[in-house]
Amino acid sequence: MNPRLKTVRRCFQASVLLGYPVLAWLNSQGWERLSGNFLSFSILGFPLADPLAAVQVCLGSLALPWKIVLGGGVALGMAFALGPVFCSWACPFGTLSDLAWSLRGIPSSLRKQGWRLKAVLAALACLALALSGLPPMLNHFSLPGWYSRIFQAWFNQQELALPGLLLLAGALGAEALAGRRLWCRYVCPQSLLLQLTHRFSPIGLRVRFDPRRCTCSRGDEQCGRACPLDLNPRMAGKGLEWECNVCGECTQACAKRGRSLTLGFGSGGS
Amino acid sequence: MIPLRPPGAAPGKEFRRLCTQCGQCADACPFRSIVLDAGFDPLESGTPRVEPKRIPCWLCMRCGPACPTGALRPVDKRQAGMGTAFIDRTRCYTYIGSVLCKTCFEKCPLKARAIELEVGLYPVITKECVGCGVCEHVCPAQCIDTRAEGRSPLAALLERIFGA
Repeated sequence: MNPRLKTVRRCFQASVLLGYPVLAWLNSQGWERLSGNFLSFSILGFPLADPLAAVQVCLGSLALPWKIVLGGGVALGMAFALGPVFCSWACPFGTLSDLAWSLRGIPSSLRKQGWRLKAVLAALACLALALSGLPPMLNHFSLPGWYSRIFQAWFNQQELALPGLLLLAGALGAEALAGRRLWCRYVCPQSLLLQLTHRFSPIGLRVRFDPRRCTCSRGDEQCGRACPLDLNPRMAGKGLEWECNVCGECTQACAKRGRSLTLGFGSGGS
Repeated sequence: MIPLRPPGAAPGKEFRRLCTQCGQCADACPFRSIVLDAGFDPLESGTPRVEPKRIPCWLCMRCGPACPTGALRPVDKRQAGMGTAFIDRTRCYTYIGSVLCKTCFEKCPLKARAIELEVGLYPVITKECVGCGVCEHVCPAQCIDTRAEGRSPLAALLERIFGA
């Protein structure tokens, strides 16, 4: 029963999330059988409303506009019978929030694949742009690029670079909900070339791991907790190099323990 | 509409490929004539354009050398190739006979080359016009329109989609 309930609920949530933009578009085209928004809605003329919106209107106007009173009443009636199921079944923010939280539990194996997928997509995009003669549009994925463009646009022409502001806010918001460095790991195409160069550098600065000196017990890995990219620093030398950006946090954490993680130049080898 | 690019811009498709949206041309422009697109169109976003009604280009040609990719090239101002001005003769004061005005002729950075006075009176845009937009900016009748070189709206649309 339970898993099936969850499936039905997810389907319902998804249809609300994806359906509303369609509905808004239909309304803009003149189709109005279902219309309004989540504050007050009309289904074939039958009202549905956010009860709090209804209370505000009634208190503010000292009147009882029947449509919004009835709509709010229906919503409250549903809550009376079923509980606040709006929140779990319909609220589009709840759906997005669920989605963001579900990203938190991504196991590290999947995360690695996510990074690989990004690398392949970026390479394909680069090739496609070159072949089609389109502008260097991967630049629009550069958050440092947008950060600087925002100030150029503001001080040179008193204009808000809205796309950049939205992108920065969105990326930061997603990270606040779903964990650190989401953009860096799964979207940022700019880092790929830097990582590629580092990977094949015989002299580059790297994190080195000496398993003989490691003193942390399982589940007590201070180094992993310190890593901003959620990597496992004890994989150093075994496929960690690609993504590690050598911030050195793990070596600092390890310095209080067994000092098995150190920074050093060259391809290492103990 | 194809925007008016800064002077010395590579032709349409090549410009799009080369411009890396760094805005150094805008930084180099002493008149703030160059506007960087801050909209949502991914093909246009971050690329430079000139809006003559706001501020025209005085053809100082400092942007070309500032460009790191050759999207803008250091050329002589007579080869700026931004576009061409068009005079609406139904609104031009001289043509409709209300006032003798030759502001456009006087202010043209390519004076007596890009705009000539027919029979000493009527301003005419010649083939030497590079589309800097100064005449559009100064015209008291606002009857001049500067357009990126010789493109019909359909051609402009096709170029936007498929490149030059």
